[in-house]
Amino acid sequence: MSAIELKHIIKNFKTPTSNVEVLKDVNFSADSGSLSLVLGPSGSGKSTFLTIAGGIQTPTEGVVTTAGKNLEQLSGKARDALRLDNIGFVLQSYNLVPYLTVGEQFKLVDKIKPKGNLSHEALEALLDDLGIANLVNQYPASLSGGQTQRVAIARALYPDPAIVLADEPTAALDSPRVAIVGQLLADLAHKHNKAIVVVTHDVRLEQFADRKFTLLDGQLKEGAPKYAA
Amino acid sequence: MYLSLKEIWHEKLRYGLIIAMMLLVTYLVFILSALANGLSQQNTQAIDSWDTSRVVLAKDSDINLSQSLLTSQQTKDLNLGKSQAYVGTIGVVATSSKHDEIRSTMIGLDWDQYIGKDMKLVSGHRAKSDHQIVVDTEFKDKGYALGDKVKLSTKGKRYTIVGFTENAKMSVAPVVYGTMNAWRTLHNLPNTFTASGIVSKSNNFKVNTSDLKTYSANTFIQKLPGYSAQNSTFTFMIGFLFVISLIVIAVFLYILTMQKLPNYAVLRAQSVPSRTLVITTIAQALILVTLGLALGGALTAVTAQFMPMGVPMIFSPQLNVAIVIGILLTGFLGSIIPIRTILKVDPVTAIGG
Repeated sequence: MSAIELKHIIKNFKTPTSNVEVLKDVNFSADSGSLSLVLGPSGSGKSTFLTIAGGIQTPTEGVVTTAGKNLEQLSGKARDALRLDNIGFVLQSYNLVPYLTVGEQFKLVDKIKPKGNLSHEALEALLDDLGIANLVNQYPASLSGGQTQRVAIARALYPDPAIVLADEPTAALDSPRVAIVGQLLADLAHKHNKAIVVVTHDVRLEQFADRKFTLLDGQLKEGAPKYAA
Repeated sequence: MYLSLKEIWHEKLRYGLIIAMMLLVTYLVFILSALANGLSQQNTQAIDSWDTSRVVLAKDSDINLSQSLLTSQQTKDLNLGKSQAYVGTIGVVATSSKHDEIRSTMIGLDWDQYIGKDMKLVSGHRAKSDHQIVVDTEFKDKGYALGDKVKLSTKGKRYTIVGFTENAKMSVAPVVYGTMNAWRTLHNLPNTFTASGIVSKSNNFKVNTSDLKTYSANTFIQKLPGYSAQNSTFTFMIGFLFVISLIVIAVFLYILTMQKLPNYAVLRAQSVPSRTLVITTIAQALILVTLGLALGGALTAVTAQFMPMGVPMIFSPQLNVAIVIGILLTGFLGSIIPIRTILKVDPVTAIGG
């Protein structure tokens, strides 16, 4: 069974003057133990695709099944609980709480999900791998873009989710850091049997992907885009 | 609670200013309430000290002790027991060559009746003759001492202070207790007048004749000159202060919540339940209000130490508890106004892209 499955997803955004169709009959599935890469230019609907897959947004039409559950049939509270227990988000805007230090971002996870998170040792190892172990007492405002992005990745992985959805996780990183993050995501898929879905326009991540998709003008197709190397 | 405390700690200036605002509101409510309470008590202290339940006055006195006069003809058939006492009252100005003059209320008593008998003295003794008086401790605070002689009218004899008693104020003026003869002398009344009225600490005492009428203590107090007007003025001021506080606190919390919506969207995107955000908001409001109350209370206590003696500020534990509950409730009400907005926070707004 797929960890995430999207069937015939359509997403429209209505404004007083227009009706924009952002996703057009998108079908997608991601299995545990694989890293799926969705490539596409800005404005192609990647973030919308990811938030619908993670249950943050609801589609206009279609069915989303995550961790074996049809999200449409879940209440808002149940969707929150499903996300909390199963999905780690790495969001484009980093999404760190500004008044918590890096260390406290993880404590907050402990407060809302007391069980099933990484052990102290595993968290230290993760922070070491990402090169941010020395930042635990820093507030997000004092971090560089790259550091913030790596903290956001660590925060998403800390609850030990079965599914990781990442939106442009390497946008602010240099190539060596991209390699580290790419390898980390691939290891999470292959060694820890997690389903990893990355939406990005960063072609440097292609080498780590098991499956590649292209999202262009709201349409998803399997395979790397033509502009990719 | 965790998020509430962390945010307050991180944003010290912003929350410090909000706490300062709460402090000022609390301080104002505490001070005004203490003044209202003090003024109210200074109107009725003497009446309260007599354990008054009923007051008998002349029917045509408009329930005003100083307008009432009972003649011996009207009182000759009355049988006063251990719980009743005659009182005569007249406004006087106590003057002395050595001290400042004090506007006072002179109360004439029959010292063998319960008010005179039960009177608790701070120092000295009860009046034993017509030229002896027992006065409120305000006289002592203003430098008067036992043995000092005072005049209670521009002409006439001097009276010797032979005792001091506490909590003896009526219509915000200190009371000068003397004999009935002294009261009659000050009033220029012949012996055919018995008193201004009869005070009873027993509920069962009633006199209702063609000339006299019995009133409850509450009715009598409400008709004290200026009492109702003062009390209702303060009650309205405090009531309006509470309403304005509610609006100010609610507006502050609403603006604060609006500014934090991006953070709430971040937390929602991180799967933090809406319930947690609501609890965080209410907890934060209550923490801010509690800190404001504690600091406002402390500032009030310090202020009370430095208040001049003449300012009638009296703190009542019951009133203070009511204020604390009222302000906490105000903070709670203010914090629940933005809850609808919090519940509608869309995590998608935090995601961008």
